[in-house]
Order: sequence, then structure tokens, then C-alpha cells
Amino acid sequence: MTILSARHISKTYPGSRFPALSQFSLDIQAGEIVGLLGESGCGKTTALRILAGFETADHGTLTIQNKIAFNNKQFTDPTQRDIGIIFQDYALFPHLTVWKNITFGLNKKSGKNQRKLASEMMDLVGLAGYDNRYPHQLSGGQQQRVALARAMAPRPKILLMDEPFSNIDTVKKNQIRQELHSLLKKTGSTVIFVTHDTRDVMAMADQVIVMKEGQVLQQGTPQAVFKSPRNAYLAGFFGNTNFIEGRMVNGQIRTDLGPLAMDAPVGLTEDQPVLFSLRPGDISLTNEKDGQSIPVQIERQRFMGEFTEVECRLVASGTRLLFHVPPNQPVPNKTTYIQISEKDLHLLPESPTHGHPRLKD
Amino acid sequence: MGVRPGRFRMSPTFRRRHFNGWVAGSLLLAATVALPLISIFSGFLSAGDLAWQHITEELLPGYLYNTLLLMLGVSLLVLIIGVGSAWVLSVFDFPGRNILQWALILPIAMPAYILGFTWAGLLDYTSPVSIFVRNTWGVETGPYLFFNILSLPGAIVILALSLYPYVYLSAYVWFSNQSATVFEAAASLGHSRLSQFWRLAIPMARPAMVAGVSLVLMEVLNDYGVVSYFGVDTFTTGIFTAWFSFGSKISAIKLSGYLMILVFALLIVERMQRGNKRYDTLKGQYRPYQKTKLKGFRAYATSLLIALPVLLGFAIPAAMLIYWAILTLPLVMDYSFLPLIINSFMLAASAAGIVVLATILTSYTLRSFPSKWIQVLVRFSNMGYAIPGAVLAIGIMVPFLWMDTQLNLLTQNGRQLILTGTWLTLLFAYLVRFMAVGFNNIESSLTKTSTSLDEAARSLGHSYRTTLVRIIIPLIRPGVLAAGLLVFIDVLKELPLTLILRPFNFDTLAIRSYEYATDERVPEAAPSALIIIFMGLLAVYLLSKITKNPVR
Repeated sequence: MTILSARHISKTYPGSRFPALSQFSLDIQAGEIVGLLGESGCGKTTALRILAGFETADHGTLTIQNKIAFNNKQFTDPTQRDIGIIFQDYALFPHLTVWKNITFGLNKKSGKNQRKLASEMMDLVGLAGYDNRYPHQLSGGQQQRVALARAMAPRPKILLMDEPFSNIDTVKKNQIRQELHSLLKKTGSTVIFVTHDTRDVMAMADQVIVMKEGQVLQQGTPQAVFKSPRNAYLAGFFGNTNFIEGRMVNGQIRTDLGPLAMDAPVGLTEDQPVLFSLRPGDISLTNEKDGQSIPVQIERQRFMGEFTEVECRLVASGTRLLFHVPPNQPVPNKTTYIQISEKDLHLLPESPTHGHPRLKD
Repeated sequence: MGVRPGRFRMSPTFRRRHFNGWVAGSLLLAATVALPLISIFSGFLSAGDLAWQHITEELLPGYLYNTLLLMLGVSLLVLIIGVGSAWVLSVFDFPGRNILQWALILPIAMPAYILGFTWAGLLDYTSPVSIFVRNTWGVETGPYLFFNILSLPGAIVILALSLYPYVYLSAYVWFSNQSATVFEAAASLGHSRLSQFWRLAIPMARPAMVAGVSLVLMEVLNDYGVVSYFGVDTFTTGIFTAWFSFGSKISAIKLSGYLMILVFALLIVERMQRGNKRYDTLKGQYRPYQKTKLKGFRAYATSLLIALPVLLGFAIPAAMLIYWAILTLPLVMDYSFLPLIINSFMLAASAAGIVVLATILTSYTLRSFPSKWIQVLVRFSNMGYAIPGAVLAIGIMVPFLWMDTQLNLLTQNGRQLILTGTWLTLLFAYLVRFMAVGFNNIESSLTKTSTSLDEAARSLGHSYRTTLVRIIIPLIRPGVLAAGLLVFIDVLKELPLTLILRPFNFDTLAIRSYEYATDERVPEAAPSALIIIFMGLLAVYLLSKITKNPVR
């Protein structure tokens, strides 16, 4: 069931020449967790604030549970939208206890109902017994859980979260991501969260929407976007990658790695350039010279803890490549060979009409 | 979808942001400031009468000359005292430094007119000091010890002594917020302490100094008590003379208009001087200046020099007032003294309450519906602080008298004063004049609370009003208290506005002490004056407590 639907929402801030959000559309099914991913200034926070009703869009339509929340005639106040929000700084009321924070949104319910809903929430987020603490007496993770309980207590249709993990210690991030994910799944919440960290999306989201300069670049499951990014920006956004240029010659794609056996994509014309992404983890080191291996000159290696990052140069073309080897594997300081499986080469459909980042020379 | 071309329609969100109860309330408050300004302006443009002809020919040049000289003299003196002592305190360590650091603020609790008549009394032929000098050393004193304080130079010194804390405070805060690195760099490049002062500290601190001095000059233009007591004819005393001696309303208005031109010129100069320059130390490690420890004679000489403004501006006159108060207390403590205190406190408290409510409204409106024109609106409603008390009083008196006439015509009640000369007029005037005091304090605590708190409350189903009452006000309580306290003190010591607008036979502590002093009964003015000073000290103390302990 579609619970929220945004159509062609655009917003330009007064005094700004570029739209903060342009033709933003989104459909969310009940129980889904959606991550809005992008660098700061990409419009993801603007999108979130428009959904919540704190910003008003210039154009577009927003429907929440088949009721129009915003279009060019109507506007539903944030107080009436049935949306819960967890702010980046949590926005806990510092002068109120945990209990009073959580019951703050329940003021229209009877006293008995308030107590029932709030204590359910306290149990759910594992804060039972913390009723009389003040926010400043809690750890960052506990504060987040109070914010979650407060937002969920009035049983909103949708939960919005702004950078939910930016205030959590790096050490604890993984654990808290998992806890939050299982909690949200247990309650069947519909969630939209905003982040600049791909790891948040990988750990939490069922759907990811990657944004840049106010526009949606790609939408899909995290696996799909990671595996098949549509352009060089997206490929680079999900971790380090190598960009391999190619060109169609006589119906075959030729690259610096040699001619490819794969069928050329439909619609590719003769002499047209193409761009591939190749993850450093998909390249392996070998000592044997055979028909499959490619000779490289090792230039530099850097120990990264879980792996060693190796920078090399193709002997034939001089193209630079990055790859990873296990930390205990010795890397010869001279010419050696690498192996690449052609299935790991991912063709970027939108490149190279867009510029793409290159490895630093 | 999209905007239909060629047809303007107000969108629901536009209406919601710009036309609501909050904005309407702020608009009303801005109108209260506009009222006196409009009435002065329209009077300024109309023709003058015979008295005005006399004033322009005989008196105006003198008013202008005295006012400008007063402004010049006071700004020089407050700069020397304020910036000098702030710099010395920031770079040197000497006996009593820690005490002087806060003691230098004390004269802020001493209204200039009280300081004025106290010193006049102290140096006069019959003062205990003169008598002591004559009887002990056998020296025959003239009518005044040292020099005739009741003069323009005397007024300059008195005003500077009571107003320098504004400059001292901003300069001291500025110096102590600077990281030492800039000055250490200068020292490593071969600059002495003095050269650092002239070539770095002064130019860098200029924005802070300009702010302090312009505040002082606003007070100078507002002053009535000192100049009239000291017989220095300025615009303020001129307004009183025109209204009460010549009975010429139009002349009072026209003089007010001229004074407003001076005020606007001052505001413009301040703007230009301050500009957008902010010489703050660039990001990096903050390290306080390592103070040089002074030794021997130099240390004690420095202590005495820095203590001088406190002694002259506070300690000596306060001691004198206490002595006089003990002498005259049985005389003054009659049946009318208690009502006098109650009157003053009630008036000050109600004014503080009204101003606080008004400024919570304007600052919350600005926070909740920020837009260019609401910003302008709010800034305009804070203009009242720049209108000198006498001008404001005239600007309010004229339209209120007119309204009374209209009301009388309507009710056919003959000639009666319905609005004029009531608490209502007085409170209205205080609201206009002190709105900025309230706003600055409340606004500064508001900006320290994150707007996501408002949004959180709204997303949990609370209206703007309940968000304000349940979240914002509890969080900005220190700012609200500070605002209320400052307005309370300002009203308690206010003179020119209250003198003109007060109800018939209605006295405040400030008026009573001033009237005793002008009747050559300075000792009897002491008890009332001491109460004002004591309340001022209490306020300074409470403010330092409040601002140090923000909620949790």
C-alpha cells in the first residue's frame, strides 16, 4: 500500500539561483525503510523538511495516506500531518524529563492512555526506569532512543529521521544501526531517513534514493545501486573504484585491459566511447603469466588494516589502477600480473557524457 | 500544476506565513513606535509661532553648540576611561585587579543626575567636605571647592563618570575574547606593549568601541537631569522650556525634530563606522593573554589610577549619600514615603511586564515566520530606544491630547483628560522606549535554543502558542528575567519622560529625589536616590548570576 507519494516537487530558496530540489518524486510503501543519500547540499534535507511541512515547496503535490498534504491550493500544517520526526540533534526538550518528553505529543489523549502509550514506548526502546532522568544525563545513543520513543508515541503514519547516526560515536555506530533497524522492523514502521553515509544506507534501507544538486540520480535497493550504478558519480560515491574507458571498434569493445568478449550494449554505435567501473576488490594479484593475466608495474602500496591498497600502472597503456590484496599477501615491488574477470566490469550507462573522476596522478 | 501566467493568486502558504495573529501583534507594536515619530515629524513640518521665532534667533545656536560639545567631551572621556582601564586590566596584573575588574561596572547603577547633584552638594560651600577643609586646615574656600562644577565641563565629567561602564564593558569583553597569539606575534616583531595597544588593540577593537560610545551618546542625548541641574542649555532642556515656560507646543515639537535629526545622524555614523567589520581572532587555539605582573610603586600607582573612576563615579558619592540619608531619614520618612516606593515599584514592574510580553511576541514572530519584511518590522519596533525621553514624551503627549479632545467631543463631557496623565500614557511611553532593551535580551537567549525544538513540538501536534508556552518560554527564562530586570531598573531611574507624562501629583523615587535636589535640599534627596542605586546594584548582581547559570 502506498502510504506517501510525492510528485514533481520543486523548491528554490529565495535569493538562490539554483533549485534546492527539482522535480522530486517518491513513493513509499507501508513498512518500508527508505534512505535519502547524498552529499551535504544535495537537497535531501530540504526534501525531508518539505515532507514534514516545515518548508513549503514551490510546485508539486504531496499525498499522505490518500490525503493531499500539499499542492498549489492546499497546505496541511505540520501539526496535522501524522508524521513523526527525529532530528539530527534529537531536539529533546532539555527542561523536561524523559517521561515528559515522551508524553509531550500525547497531550490530546486521556491520562490513562498517555501512561499506557508512553510506558509501552519506554519498554520498546529499552529505557524503562529512566522516566525521571533529564536528557543531558543520557548518552548519545540513549538520547536517540528517547527521540525515537517521543516521535513514535503518537503512532504516526511515517517516521522521518535526519542524519540519525551523525551524533553517534564511530565505535558504536554499527551496533546502534543494527538495534535501530531491528526495532523499526519489529514495529513495522514506515521510515524515511536522510544520510550522507553509504554505510547507513547499506545497514538500514530497503530502498535508497541517491541525490545530487536537487535531483534524484538513482533509486533502488542498496544492492542494486551498489552493483549497478548509473554513472561515474554514483560508482565513486559507493566506495573507491577504477574507471576503465572503452571504445567500440568493429562491433567489439576495446579497453586498456584488452578487447572484451562481451556483447556490445544495444544502441552503441561504432567508435562511441563507453566507461566501466571496476571495484578494487575485484582485481586479484597473480604471479603467473598466462593468456588471462595482465602485466602491471607496482607503484605504491598502503597498509589499510583489513587489506593492503595497491596502486599499479598497466605496462601496455600506462593506465593507473587501484586494487586490494589481503594484508598478509606479499606484493612484489616490480612488474607482476593481475587478473580481472570480465563480469566484474560494470558498464556505466550514463557515462561518459558526464565527467567522471579519475585516479590522482 | 504550476503557476498560471498573468494572474497573481496568494498561495495558502504565503497567507499563512505573512498574515496571522503573531504578525498582526508585531505590526501593532511597531505602530506604537511609529505614532510618536509621526507626530513629531508632522509638527516639524508645520509653521512655527512667535516663541519659535525667538528660540531660533536667540537660543537654538546655543542648544546646538552645548549639545555637540557635550557629546564630543563625553565620548572622549568615556573612551579614555573605558578603553584605557579595560586594556590595563587585560595586560597587567596588580594589587586589587580582580576587584577592580567588576568594581569598574558599579557606576552603571548610579544614574547620572544622582551623581550630578551629589557631587554638586559635595563641592558646595556648605558641604561637610568644605566645612572640614575650612575648620581643620583653616583654608578659606570659595563658593565651590576646586572649580565650579555647575558648568558644561562639570556636566561632561559627571556624564562620563556615570556612562563609561558601557564602553568599559564592551572593550573588556572584547579584549578578553582575543587570543594572545596576535599580540605575541606583534611582540616577536619587536612591538612594545604600548605600540601593541595603539597599532593592534585600538584598531581591532574599533567596532566594539563604536558600539559602546554610540550607546553612551544615546544616553547623553536622552539626559535631562544633569544638564538642567547644571544649567547647561541643550535640546532636552530647550524642549522643557518651550513646553512649560513658553507654553509653545509647536516649538517643543520642532526642537524635538531637530534632536531627532541629531539622533539619526548618530545612528548613521555608527552604522558606517561599524560596517560589517568584525575583527575577531581567526579560528584556532584560543589562549588568553599572559598578564605582566607589576611590582612596587608602579603596581600601586596603577591600582590607584584604575580605582579612580570607581571612587569618583561610585564609592565617594555613595558614601556621601549614605551619610546624608542617615541625617535626613527621620525628616523624609513621613507618611508619603512608603506609597512613593510602592508607586515606583508598581510602575516599574508593570512596565517590565508589558515590555517582556511585547518582546516575547516580536522575537517569537521573527523566529517562527522569518522574512525580510518582518525583520524590518521588528527592527523598527526597536527604534524607540533612540528617541530621547523628552522627545518621546512630546511625541506621545500631542496625539494623546488630541484623542482626549475627540473623546470629549464624542461623550460631550466638557474638557477632561481621559488618556493623558494616566498610567496608560506612561506605560505606553515606557513600552516604546524600552522595547529594544527587552528584545535584545530575549532574542539573544532565543538564538541559543535550536529551532529544531520548535519543529519537534510542532510535529508532535502542538500549536505555535503551546510551543511558546511549554517549550520556548521555560528555555529562555534567563533572558526573560534579565529583560524584565533591566527594564524595571530603567523605569525606576527614568526622569524626563516620567516628568512630562506622569499623572498629576504622582511621584516616583527618581522624581522625588530630583525635586529635592533642585530645591537645594540635596541631603533630603539621598534616601530616594539610595533606593534607586541599591536596586540598580541588586539588578547588576542578579544579572551576573542569571547569565552565568543558563538552564541546565
